[in-house]
Amino acid sequence: MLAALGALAGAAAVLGGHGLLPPRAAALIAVAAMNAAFIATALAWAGAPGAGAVAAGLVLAASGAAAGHPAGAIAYLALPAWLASLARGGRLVGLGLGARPPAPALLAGAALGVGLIAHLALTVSRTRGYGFALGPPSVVLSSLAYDVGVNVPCAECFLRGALFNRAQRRWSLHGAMALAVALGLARYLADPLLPHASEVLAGAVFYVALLGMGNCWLFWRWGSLVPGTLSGILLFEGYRLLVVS
Amino acid sequence: MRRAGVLALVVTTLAVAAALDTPAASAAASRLAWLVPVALGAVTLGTRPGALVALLAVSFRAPDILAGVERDGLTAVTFDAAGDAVVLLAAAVMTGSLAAAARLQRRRYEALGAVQRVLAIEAPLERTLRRVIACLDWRLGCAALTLTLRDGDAVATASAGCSALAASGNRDPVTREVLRSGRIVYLADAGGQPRPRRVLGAPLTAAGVTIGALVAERTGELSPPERETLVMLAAHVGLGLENARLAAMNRRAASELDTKIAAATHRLAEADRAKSAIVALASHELRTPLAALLGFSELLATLDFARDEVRRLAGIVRRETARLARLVDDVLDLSRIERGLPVPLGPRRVAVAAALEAAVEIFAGVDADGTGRRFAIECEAALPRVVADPDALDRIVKNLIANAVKYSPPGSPVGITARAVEGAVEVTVADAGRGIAPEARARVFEPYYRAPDVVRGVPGTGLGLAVVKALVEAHGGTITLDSAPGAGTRVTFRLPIAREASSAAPVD
Repeated sequence: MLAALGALAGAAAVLGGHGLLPPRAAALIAVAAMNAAFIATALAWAGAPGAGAVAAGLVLAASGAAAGHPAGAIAYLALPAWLASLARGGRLVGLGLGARPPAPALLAGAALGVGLIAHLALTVSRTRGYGFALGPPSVVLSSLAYDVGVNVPCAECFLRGALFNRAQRRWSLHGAMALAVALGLARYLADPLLPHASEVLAGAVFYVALLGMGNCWLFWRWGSLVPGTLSGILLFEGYRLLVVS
Repeated sequence: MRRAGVLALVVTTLAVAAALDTPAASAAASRLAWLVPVALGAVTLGTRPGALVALLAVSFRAPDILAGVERDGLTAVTFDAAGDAVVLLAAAVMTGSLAAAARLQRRRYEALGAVQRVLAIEAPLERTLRRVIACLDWRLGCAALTLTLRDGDAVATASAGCSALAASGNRDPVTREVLRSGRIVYLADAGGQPRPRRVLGAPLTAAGVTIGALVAERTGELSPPERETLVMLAAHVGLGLENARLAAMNRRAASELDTKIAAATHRLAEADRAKSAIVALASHELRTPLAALLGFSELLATLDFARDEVRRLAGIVRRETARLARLVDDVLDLSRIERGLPVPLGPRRVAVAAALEAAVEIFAGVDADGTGRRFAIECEAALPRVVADPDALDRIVKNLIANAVKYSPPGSPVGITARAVEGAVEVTVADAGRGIAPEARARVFEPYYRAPDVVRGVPGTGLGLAVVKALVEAHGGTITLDSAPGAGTRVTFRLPIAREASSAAPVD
């Protein structure tokens, strides 16, 4: 399945490169294939390969639906719903989605996300004059659904729940953290939907690295994926609200 | 201390952030001022908090640095600003590492001291192990700690916390492996937990031999320096426990030796007292017949007596001479026995009934106490002969009858019975005397021993029963004594029956 998803992403990139597919559509397909591969791998490592196939299907279907119509983005929420049902059945304990996280863990996750977005806001306001503003509701809700439904859960499930969790059980915390953060940076830098302006890339490296380290620490400290997911959602949602003033 | 450090850190960070957030603040001032909270955080809280403060400092400066990079590109000024960030991070990591190493070293010495104090307390092994575990548990901050010590074939274990190894169903494979190989075992994850559970098993060694294992489990990190600390503690605990074990063994041995020496000294003193008493008594026992011999022989030599009177006096002389000879024989026999030499015997086939009758005849004829004491002999018909030295048998029987007479009231009967039992002839001499107390009964066959209640009232040497026992055993026989206070005494001995066909012993 991973090979098929890889082939899909590769084909989208090739077709997009040759102008046979609109660049936006090619990027969407490539990102959807990458997210599907992440969540499928994470669920397979957690001992639920069948669920991984279903989750990958959900991601691809939701991406298709969102590309077809802005309201289709609501389909992104199918994945977290599916993951929640699996977690309730105790099948995702290996990903850190077993027991309910304690309140301090959630607070720490929220503090990390809010802290990062506050810093991001301060920085960009002093460099480029960006500020916070609400865009059109359909765009905001679509982005929110994407981040809550696919972007953050897929990244956290794979980078923290699967990769970091496995690595920390074999190596030291720092080694595992370095691996997960490096792969997280690669994932976002390779994202074709991310603007390739130098200041945006520098900011992505800075904040994604901090977010990755913070989330690794949260997972290491509490053994739960929820605080990291919360911080990720807060950061990405803050980022979505940034507009040039 | 920690709270004060955190407070100082927060105050300093805010002060520096506020002071530097002005256009007047120079780059140099910014670089130097941020070092204060960074170093404070690293020293107070460790490497990670220190690095966090450094990141915070970098974050505060990031807007200016990034703006400069975007505006002017990578110039000397922007490089300088980026260098500040690197310096701050390096300062945090280095200061934090040094502070953490110092803290770890202090914890090491504190733990060592605490273990030393625990091991200095004298206590049973299990309790000592529990104390060591309790002492290390909170100092090491482990989720589970197990201390196992081999003591010969036995294995003593003490543990604290909830072991993931035990919970996973295994019987602590790390301890087993450490005990088997004597090497350090490290598991990055024991499994079965939401968070990784690091496990380190370190051998407890003494004189190069693995005597136990210290297994520590921690949820989260167990850094290499902490592992080194555990290994060092294990070595120290092993040595300490071995020393405590050896000290306890020495104390036990010394105590046992003291007890043995005290008992031996007591017995020696008792034997010395007994010998002194016996010497005094033997002197008295020897002097009595000698005085009689001297007096009657002088009468016979100096005066004229009628024929019957001469015969009577000669009889007295003969009896006292026999008594003297018996006493000397007893002393000589006992001397041989004590030196481990065999009693010289001339075995013959002897008819026991005749020997008993001859002995009783002497006592009845003498009637020493003049009370008309009755001697009742009951012998089975056709009693088989025994293999015995006739003189020795005579001494055995006479000694027992003499004892019965001596320790029973005047006029009370003395019963002598003989019967064949299981290849032997069993002879019992019973009296109706005062009996022997239980504590004295176990010792009546010891040489020179006399029961405390008769020492003053009845003359004797304490040799009779010892000689009788030695003579009976020299014949391959056995002797027993049955007595109770107020119920008389029965002494029973058995001598082996002579095999008519095979015995080469002559008939007496």
